Amino acid sequence: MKNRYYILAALTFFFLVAQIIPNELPAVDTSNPGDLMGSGLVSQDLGLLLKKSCYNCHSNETQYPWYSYVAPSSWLVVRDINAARAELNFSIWQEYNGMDKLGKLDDISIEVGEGRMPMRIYTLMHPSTKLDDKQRELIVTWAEATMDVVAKEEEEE
Amino acid sequence: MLLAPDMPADVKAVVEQKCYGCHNVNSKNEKGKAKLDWDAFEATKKSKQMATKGKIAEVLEKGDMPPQKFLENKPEGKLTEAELATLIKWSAGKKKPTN
Repeated sequence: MKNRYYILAALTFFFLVAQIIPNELPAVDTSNPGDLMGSGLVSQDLGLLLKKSCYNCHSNETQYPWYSYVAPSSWLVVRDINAARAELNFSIWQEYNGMDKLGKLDDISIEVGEGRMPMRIYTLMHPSTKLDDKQRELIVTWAEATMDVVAKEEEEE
Repeated sequence: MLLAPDMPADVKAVVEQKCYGCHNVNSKNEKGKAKLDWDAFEATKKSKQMATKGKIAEVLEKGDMPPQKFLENKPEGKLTEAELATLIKWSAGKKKPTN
């Protein structure tokens, strides 16, 4: 009984100390002139789908859930959002060069097509972001078609 | 092995010798095969080939391929400076194969 008390006290202590470790959430910016949405490459429906299931991590428009403000989950959020934006950030889409765009579209097609994105842990926490097979198909078809558009532009340059 | 018919002979030689061992359709290296399968490369559409080449250039420029772990067991698998230059020139080049 006494042991249990010590363990609980230690856990509480670490939890409280964790809260004071500096941990800055990646900045949120809703004004992004280079966003994919303004590129003319996406229909409204597809745009809504990407916003719903991808933008929270892969853009500057992250809407942070409550657990982003509580350590230790906040540490994971910071790490994941930084990694997600480095890999693909729809907010700066128009700043990517043609070859980068091609690589990213190819990745979208593969990751979404094979069901690896959005990540399972994320859809567990945010069930509304889950994609059904038809939505996956829409995104994959879009990514593949857009690759052809971008490749053509790249070749004409 | 099926490689793009317009792939330069020098590139093809390096790929066959240094990449194909893991990046082929029957590879036991599942991750390597999933990332790049040279046997499927030629049959993919042009934009996909371009995307793949861009990714190849990226990992080569970063020095990530062949993987360090692989080289520990097989140091002779390392790309020579000249081989690396050949592959980077081809993969990062802008003119893409026509098919």
